[in-house]
Amino acid sequence: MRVPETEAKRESRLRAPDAEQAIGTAEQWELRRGGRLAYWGVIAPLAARLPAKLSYQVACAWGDLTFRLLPDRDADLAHLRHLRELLGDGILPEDVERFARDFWRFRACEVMDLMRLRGRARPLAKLVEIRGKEHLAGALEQGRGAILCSAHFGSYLGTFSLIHAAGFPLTNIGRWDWNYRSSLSSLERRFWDLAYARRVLRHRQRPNLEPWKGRNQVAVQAAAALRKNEVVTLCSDPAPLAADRSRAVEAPFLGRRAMLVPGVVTLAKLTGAPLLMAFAHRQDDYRHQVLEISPPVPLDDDADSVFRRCVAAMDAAIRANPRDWYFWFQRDELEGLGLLAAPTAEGRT
Amino acid sequence: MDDAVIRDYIGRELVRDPAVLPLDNSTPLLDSGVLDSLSLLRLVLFIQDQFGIVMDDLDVIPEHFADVDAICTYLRSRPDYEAAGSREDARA
Repeated sequence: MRVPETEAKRESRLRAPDAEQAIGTAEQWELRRGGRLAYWGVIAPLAARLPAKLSYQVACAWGDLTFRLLPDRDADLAHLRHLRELLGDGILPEDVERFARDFWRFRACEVMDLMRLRGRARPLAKLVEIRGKEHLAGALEQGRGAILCSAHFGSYLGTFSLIHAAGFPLTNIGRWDWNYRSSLSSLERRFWDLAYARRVLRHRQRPNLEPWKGRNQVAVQAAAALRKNEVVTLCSDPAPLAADRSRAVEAPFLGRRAMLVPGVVTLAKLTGAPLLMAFAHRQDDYRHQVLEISPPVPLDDDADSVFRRCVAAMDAAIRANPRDWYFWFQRDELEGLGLLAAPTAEGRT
Repeated sequence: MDDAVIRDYIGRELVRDPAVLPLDNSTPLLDSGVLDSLSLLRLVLFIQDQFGIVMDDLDVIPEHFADVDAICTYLRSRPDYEAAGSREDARA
């Protein structure tokens, strides 16, 4: 289960992520940082203008390069061997390297998705099949808005943009992490605002509602959006922040007992908004995706039980398409969730 | 009277750490962690129901919810505010 040191470390990483650089040389990290800027700023925007097949081939090539140049690649591969334990027989040890390579390809493809949100997002829309849109339309007929619960899974920002582009006003509860990293210069923050947030916010009803310590109005703002019959999205898979720990619920997740915050269910119960699950997964050709929206989750049980059903849905989505989950390479998130043993004084376990 | 209604609700429904009880009108609600994002929403919904007002999310700022006194001051500043007692009288 979670240990306080892990949580403190996670929050300190958000504030000063240079701590991540303990593995690998400073030059390796600078190269990686420069590479990311080049990909987001130049390569991906240009490649996104190509026909889809070529666009995503460029993305896959970039993902391969990222994987080859990982400063802590050996440590990450060793850590990924925990996958077998977490997912049962879902992945064999010899598949780990292929899995890791695909993971980085998927991340590069997600950047390409955002670049294809230009205009009315048609360049991306023609590659994504949305299943269950009728569930969302039906939920909104009640006039209380709708909450889409997801995970850091698949191209959730890109595909949710398509929901907004399809006429459902949508706002996301989530942080732009560069705003919380004290190590970034204001110039770099501005870059990410332009290269990343601007593209997403073009397909949002309002700016992200960013939960953080002392920002207590987020749930009220979300309730206000729901009152206007809008869609609010939220990922429920991150490890809880220190302030939320007392509200966390233990739930079966990826073969362990994880601690997660059931805020999405509390919000649904307080506002009366229907709660639906939504997960996007990428096809084997890397460019086509499917976004599946569930029927409303029944809310008549107590909040913890309802939330455990949401966690079960996240668990099933990750097991079905494990490469789409973001947190495999984020050891601190896995530790924070209680999925991975926290490092001991002698070193990582 | 309004302060007692609000204080009682917070103490009964929202406080998770009994060490902060009993609350008084100047107990910090945000700084002490009594109110987090979702408990603030609960409180807003309670106040709307109890005092017959519709609160704009732009009004939900720390200055209005710092403590019970601040909440009461904010409520009295609203033109559509009905004191808890008068609302109950009207219901009767």
